[in-house]
Amino acid sequence: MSLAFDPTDKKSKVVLDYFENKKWLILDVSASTRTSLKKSIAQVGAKMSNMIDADNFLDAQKIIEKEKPHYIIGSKQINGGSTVQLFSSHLLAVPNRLNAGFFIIADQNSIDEVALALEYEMDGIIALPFTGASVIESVVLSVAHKVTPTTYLNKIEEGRSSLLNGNLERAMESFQTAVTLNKHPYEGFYYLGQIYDERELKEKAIASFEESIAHNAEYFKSLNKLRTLYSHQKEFKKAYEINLVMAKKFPTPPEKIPELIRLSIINQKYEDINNYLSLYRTIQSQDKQAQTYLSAGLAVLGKYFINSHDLDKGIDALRGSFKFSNGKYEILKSISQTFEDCHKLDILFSMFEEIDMEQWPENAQGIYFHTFHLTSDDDLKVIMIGEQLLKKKIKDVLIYKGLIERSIKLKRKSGALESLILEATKDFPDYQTEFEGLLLKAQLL
Amino acid sequence: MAQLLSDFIFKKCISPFGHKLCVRNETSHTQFVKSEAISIKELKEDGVSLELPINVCQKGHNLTLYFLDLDYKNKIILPISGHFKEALFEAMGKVEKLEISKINKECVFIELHFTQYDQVKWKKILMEYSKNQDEINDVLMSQHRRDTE
Repeated sequence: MSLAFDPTDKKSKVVLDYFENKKWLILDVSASTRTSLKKSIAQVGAKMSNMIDADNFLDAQKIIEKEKPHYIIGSKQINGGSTVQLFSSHLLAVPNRLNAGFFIIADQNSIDEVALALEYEMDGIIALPFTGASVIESVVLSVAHKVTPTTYLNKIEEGRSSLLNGNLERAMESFQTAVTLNKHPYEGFYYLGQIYDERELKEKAIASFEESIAHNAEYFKSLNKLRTLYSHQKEFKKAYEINLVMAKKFPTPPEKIPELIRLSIINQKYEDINNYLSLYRTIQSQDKQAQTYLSAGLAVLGKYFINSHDLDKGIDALRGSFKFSNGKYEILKSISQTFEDCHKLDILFSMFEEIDMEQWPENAQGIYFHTFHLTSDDDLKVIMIGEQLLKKKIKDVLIYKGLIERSIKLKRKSGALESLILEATKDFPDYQTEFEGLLLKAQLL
Repeated sequence: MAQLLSDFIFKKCISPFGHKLCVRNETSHTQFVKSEAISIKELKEDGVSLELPINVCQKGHNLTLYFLDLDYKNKIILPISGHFKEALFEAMGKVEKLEISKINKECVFIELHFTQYDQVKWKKILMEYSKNQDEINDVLMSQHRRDTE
């Protein structure tokens, strides 16, 4: 456990002085949690009379606009919205971040929030469950560079305020001065890069971000910008290297997994590709969103192995993808396409048969039907299932196409077929030509 | 050997941390073992703030709170009285405050003040959570400069 903040220690005086006149907004749905937070914040020098609290998004928004609290600490979820969404209003209300701060209290497995805090200017993530000490410590640590800012940091802040007000020329001047005021002005070069990026001067932007990380190899914001720019510029080797630096130092948000797997494939990192396949089995995430991202990554991996004619590994990855998909339509569609391409849809069908589809979103049944349609010889059963789904208002182009194809095969009456096509066209007008094409093809036979 | 993305991306990602919780209400002689419906909001020196379903307890009730490993997969069956040997930590406490959640009317926030517990074990748990917070702080603080004039 780190050393506790001692308000009676002489060294603490700068922090107590800093917070003495700072206004706070405390956000939580529970009154007793708000009281606990206030007690902790008072320990760092804030006055109770300078603390306002709220339990809902609308009140919080009004307080930010009217009272302009310097500091905000709040649970991620409050009544009527997320505290994260208040961050941009707070930036506008108090643009000088040397006098301001923003803390989110989030679930203990706060990977996404940590990434969010790194990407923006948030000051801290306090993990649930929190303790009085963890709140105090996080707040005190976050202001260490703010209590006695250097000339350099003041110049950066001046530039940031101009940037927030949309005055790019003035911001540029401030940052250009700032980079001459410090031996390692990595923030200055980051903001210069930002301006070049906004002006679509991509090469100059990259050069500035590279200069920034030359001064601080672990500066998240510049690394993050570079990984995006390198990918856009199709500099995939560099993008891989930057992502590697980031993965070593920072938590990887689950939503990045599919992109990183693609990057390993593009860079022909075969060892990586095989590793992903063995590593996914060790993951026991209960978080549905994280599972979905993992599933999307495994779908990419499965497709790669299938295209490389490594069927066993491909099927293994696709099984993993199916398992973690939570019935997400886009992922199932991608899995289904890959199985269709390698003529192994029967494997997908058996996977569908093993799960309880009641737990999945209804539209997943569209992919189930499509798989059944392409693997079953039982025309009547396919038609029966398709019609049942339509009755349940589960509409999907794949259902209509399957029904039309089977109806043609069974030589159903042209009136019935035409009304089916009419219904399909009504639901999916963009596919009218395709539906009518199926009918035309049948008439020509 | 060159380092690989796959060596790192899963290490700091999707690694759950925390405990499963369940409750035996000693006043109403009931128990609540749906651990996914109980979350801890705050850890105090001698108690906790919890969010749990509305019907689990009332203000003034005595509860025994059990902390289980997050990976505990067996069906939780608490004994009618006494210890639950699979629990990593257990504490008896009194519900001192109870507040209905405004987000979910089916949930309440309670403050449980521990009356009987192993202080050494509790400190160890507090340390574990503190370490988790330190890791988050380390990542965020590494971005802030320390130089002065």
